[in-house]
Amino acid sequence: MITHALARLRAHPGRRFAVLMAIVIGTAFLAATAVFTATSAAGLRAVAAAPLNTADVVVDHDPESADPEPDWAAEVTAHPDVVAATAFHARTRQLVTEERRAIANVYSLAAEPSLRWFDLEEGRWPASPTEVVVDTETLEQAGLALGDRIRLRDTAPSVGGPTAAGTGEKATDTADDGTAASTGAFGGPGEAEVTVVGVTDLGFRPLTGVRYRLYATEGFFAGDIPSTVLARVRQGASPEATVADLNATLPPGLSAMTAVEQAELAADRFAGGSRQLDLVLLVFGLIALLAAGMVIAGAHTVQLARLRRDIALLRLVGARRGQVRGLIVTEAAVVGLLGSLLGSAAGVGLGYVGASLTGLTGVGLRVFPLALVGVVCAGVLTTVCAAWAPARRAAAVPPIEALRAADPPPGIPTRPVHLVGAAAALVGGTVMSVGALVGVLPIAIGAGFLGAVGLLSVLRPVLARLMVLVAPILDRCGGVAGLAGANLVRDPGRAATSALTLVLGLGLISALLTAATTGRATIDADLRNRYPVDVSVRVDTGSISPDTERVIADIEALTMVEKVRTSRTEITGLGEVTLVGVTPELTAASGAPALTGDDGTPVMVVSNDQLAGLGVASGQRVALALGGTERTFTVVTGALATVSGTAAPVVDARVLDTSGVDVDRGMVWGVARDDADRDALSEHLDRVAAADPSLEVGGASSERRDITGILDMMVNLALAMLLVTVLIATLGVADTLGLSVVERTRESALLRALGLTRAGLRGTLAVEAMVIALLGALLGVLIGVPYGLAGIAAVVGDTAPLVVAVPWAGLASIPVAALVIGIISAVLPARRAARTAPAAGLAA
Amino acid sequence: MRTPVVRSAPALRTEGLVKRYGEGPTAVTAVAGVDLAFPAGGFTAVMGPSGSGKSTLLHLLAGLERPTSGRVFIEGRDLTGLDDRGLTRLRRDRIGFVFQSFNLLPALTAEQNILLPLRLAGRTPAPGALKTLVTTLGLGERLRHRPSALSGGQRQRVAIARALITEPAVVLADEPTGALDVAAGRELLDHLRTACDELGRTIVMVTHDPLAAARADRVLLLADGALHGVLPRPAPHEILSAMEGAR
Repeated sequence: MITHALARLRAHPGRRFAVLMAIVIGTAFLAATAVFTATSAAGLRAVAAAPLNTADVVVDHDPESADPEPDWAAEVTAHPDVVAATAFHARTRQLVTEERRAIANVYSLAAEPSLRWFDLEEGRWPASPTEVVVDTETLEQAGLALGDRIRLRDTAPSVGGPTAAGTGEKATDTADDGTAASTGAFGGPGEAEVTVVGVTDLGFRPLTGVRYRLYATEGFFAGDIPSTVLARVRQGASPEATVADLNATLPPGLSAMTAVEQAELAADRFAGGSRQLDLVLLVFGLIALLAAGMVIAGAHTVQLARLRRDIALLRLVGARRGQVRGLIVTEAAVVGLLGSLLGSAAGVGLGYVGASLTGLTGVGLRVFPLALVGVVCAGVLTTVCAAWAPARRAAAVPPIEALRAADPPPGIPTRPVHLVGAAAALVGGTVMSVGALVGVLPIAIGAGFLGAVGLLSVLRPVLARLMVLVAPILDRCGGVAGLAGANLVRDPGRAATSALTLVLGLGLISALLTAATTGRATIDADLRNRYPVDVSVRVDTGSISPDTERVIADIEALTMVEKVRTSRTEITGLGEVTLVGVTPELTAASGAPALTGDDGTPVMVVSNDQLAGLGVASGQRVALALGGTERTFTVVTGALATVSGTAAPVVDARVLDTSGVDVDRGMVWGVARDDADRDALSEHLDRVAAADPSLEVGGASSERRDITGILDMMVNLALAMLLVTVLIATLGVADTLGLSVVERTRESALLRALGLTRAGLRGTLAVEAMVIALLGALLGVLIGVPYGLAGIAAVVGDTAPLVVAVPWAGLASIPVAALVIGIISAVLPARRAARTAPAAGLAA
Repeated sequence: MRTPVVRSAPALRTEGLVKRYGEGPTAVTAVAGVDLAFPAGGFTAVMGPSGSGKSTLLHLLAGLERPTSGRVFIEGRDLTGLDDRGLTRLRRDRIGFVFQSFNLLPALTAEQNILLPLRLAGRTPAPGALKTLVTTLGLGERLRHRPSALSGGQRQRVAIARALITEPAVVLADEPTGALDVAAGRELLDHLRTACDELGRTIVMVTHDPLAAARADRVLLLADGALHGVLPRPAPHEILSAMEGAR
C-alpha cells in the first residue's frame, strides 16, 4: 500500500508543499526552543560555576550563626589532604572616577595561583592592597584603562546608589557590608585609592547584578571575616572524604561541600529564573505547532475533497475504509517525518543563533538528542493527528460516488460537534470572566483554554456563513470583486478553513497586545504610585548648588525638576527629621495625592516606621509641634516620604514656608517623562554624582527601568513568536488559493477567453485572499481583545488596580497586516492562474 | 463458438429486489421487485429506456446500494446481510467493474491500475495471469503508460483487464461502449465475448445500444423497474422492436 501512497506523492509533489512547510516551521520553532534552552542553561551553569572551577572543596560560613575566628581559613588548611586554601572576600564599594560614581563589587583574588579562576589578558597580578584587576567589560563600561587610578569609597549604609538599588544583589558571595567598617590601612577613612594593574577577559558577563567588578588581593580585605573558603585537595585524595572530615571537625556555622555540589547549587539558583522563560517559549512553540496542525488539517480536507472520485474508485475496486485511511495517514506520516527532520535541523541552527545573540553560548552548542527526538515525534504526531479526521471523512466516501457525474454540493452542515463547541465556548468564556474578575488565575486559564478550544471548533461554520454574507457586498463592488465573491461562496467551507488559522494567529496577537498594553498601563500606574519621584539628589547640610540644579534641570528625560524645601527640625514623636516641602505642581506631576485636604487641613506624608512612631493610623489627624507652633496634620503613609532614600516627612511647601522654621533647598527632585530613556537617565545621574562627592543620588529611576524593561522584552519576544503562527497561517491561505486555482484552470481559461485580463484574473484571487484574511483578522481581534483583558485581569488579580488600556494603534494595524497577508498569499497562485492560455478553456 | 453453458447454480441471483427512493407520496420506485438469475459463464445484456432502472439494478447487484427489500446472491452468498467490510471484500474478490468513463486512477500506470485490486487484497497475481490477460487484450506495449497517454479503447481494455485479473464471479459493465467510437466499441465487445467464452466469466452488461446487446447470450428488457421481457440471442432488429414494445 505504501507504493500507492508514494505514487500519489510522486504524481503531485507540489501539493504537499504547504503541509511540509507548516510542519517544518512548527518543528523548527520547537527544536530552536529546545536548543536555545539547553545551550543557554549550560552557558548559565558555566558562568555560575566559573569561580569554583579551580577548587575541590568549598566551606561556607552561615551568616546567621556566630562569627568564627577571623583566620578560620587556617582551620581548613590544617586538614592533611588540603594542599591549598584561600579565603574568599567580597565588598561593595562606590567606584569613583573623574566621570562617574557608581556601585562596584570588589572580590578577593587567591594568593595561591592555582586557585585563581581566570587568567590575565593584559598587565600583571596585583602585588599589594592598592592594586586591582578588572574585567574587560568593567573596563569598557567605566571608561577605564590599564594604569588608571580609582577611588573606592564606603557605601553610605542608608542610601543606595542609583544603579544597584532595585536590581537585587544577586551575588551569592557579597560580604555583609554593615559590619565591614574597616577600610584597610591606606587612604582616608572610608576611602581607598587603587591602581588598575591587570585586565582579564572573562568571556562572559558574571551574574553578580552590578555593572562594575574589581578583583583585589586578600590584603585589601584586611579585617574582614571571610564568608567562604575555597580549597584544593592533594592529588588522589577524595573531595567527598575531605568534606566529611571537615564537617565533622569544623565548628558549627561552618559547612563544607564539594565544589561540584556548590557549582550545581549556584547554577540552579540562576537557572531557576530562566526556567520561566523556557516555559513561555515552550507554550508558544506548542501554539505554533497547533497552527501547523490546523493548516495541515485544512490542506488535507481541501486536497481530499479533490480526490473524492479517486477515493471512491479505490473503494469500488475493493479498498477497505481502513486501507484508504491508512494510505492517507501513511502519506501524512511520511511528509510529517520529512518536515520534522528538516525543521529540527533548521531549529538547531536557529536556537544556537538565538543563544549567541543573548550571549549565553559560553560552553558552545548544547543539544539534547532526546529533546530533538521528542520534537520530531511531536511533528509527526501533529501531522498524523491533523490528517486523521480528514482521512476518516475521506474513507467514508461511498464507493458509488465513483459512478456519479457530479460532486455533492460543498458546505459545512452543522454537526453536533459544533453545538458542543459553542457550549464549550460559552461556558469557558463565562467562567473565565468570572475567574478574571475574582482574580483566580488557574480557573481563568483552564476556562480560557476550554473556551478557546470550543471557539476553534465552532468558528469554521461561522466563518463559512460570513463568507456567504460577504459575497453580495463584493458583487456590488464590481466585476473582479464580484467574481471573487462568487468563488468564495462556491466553497465557503474551504475558505473558512484557511481563515481559521489566521483567527488563531491574529487573535493571539490581539490578545497579547491588549494584555501587554493594559498590563503596562497597570504597572505604570502602580509604579507611579510606589515611586512617584524618579530622581532625588540631596546634600546633608545646606542647599544644593545652583550648578547642580542646572545640570539636573537640563536632563532631557525629566519633565519636572524642583529644588524642594528642606528643614532639619524636631517633630513630636519623630525626633529630629528632615522635613520636606514640595509645591502642588510637583505633587501633581508625580501623580501623588495632593498635600492639602479637601477641608484645607495640611497633609503630612510619613514612612511606615514613622507612622508607627507616632502611634496613629494612616489618615488620622494629629496635632504636631512644628517650629514652636502646633498645627493639625492629616498624617498618611506614602512613597513620597522615602524618595530621598531616608525617611523624610513631606508636607506642602506653603506649610513649611509659613511655619517659621529655617528652610534650605537641600534636595532636587525630578519626575521623568513616561517615555524617558531610563538607561540614559542613570548614566546622567552617575555623572552628577561624580561631579560632586557630597551629593547623595537616589530615586526610583532604575526600579522602573528594570520592571518595565523585563515586561517589554517578554512582550516583544512573545509577539515575535506569534508571528511564526501568522506565517504558518499565511501558508494555509496560499495553499487553499493555490489548489482552487488548479481546480479552476478551465474556468480561468474560459474567463480569459471571454475577455478578462490577466491583471483582472490576478485581482480576483487577491480580493479572495484579502477577504479571507480580513475576516480572519476581524474575528481574531474580536475574540482576542476580551481574551487579553481577561487574561491580564486574572494575572494582576488584586495586586494592583487594573488600568484598562486598549492598544488602538496596534489593533488597527492587524486588519492592515491581514490585507498584506492576503496579497502575499495570493501572489504565487495568481501568477499561476494568469499563465493559463485562453484557448485551454475551449478545448475538450 | 457460442455455446451457452447453463450450469446448475447461477453466479448471480436476485429475489424480489425492490429499490425505492424517498418516502410517502413523492417516493420513486426505481426497481420494482425483480427476480433474476444470471447463469455462470453467461453474457447477459440489460436494456431499457432511460429511467427504467438499469443503472440502479446494476448498483444493487454490485452491493453499491442497499435494496429497500429483496435480496441479491453472488455465488449463493447473500449481499444484503454483509457490512461495509464484507461488501468491500466481496467487490474486491468476486466482482469486476467496467464503466463508461473507464475510471482509471490517473496517478498509476496501466499495469498498476490492472493489478490494483490484487494489491488492495494483498495478493500477488498468479504467474502468467497478467501476461495472458494483457496479450489477450492487446495491451502488451502500453503497460508502463499512464491513462492520460492511452486512447479511449486502450483505457477501456485496461479497465477490463482490471475487472478480470481477480477472476471474479461476475463482471458488471455499465455502458462500456458508451464513450468509444464504433470500431473501438466493436473491438471491446469482442474482448468481453472472449472473456465469457474462453475464460468462462459471467458478464452482466447494461447498455442502450442494440448492436452491443446483440452480442450477448440473452437480453433482459427493463421497463419502469420491472422485467418486461427476455430475448435469448436476439438479432439487433428484434431488440429494437422489443424496445418499442417496452416503451
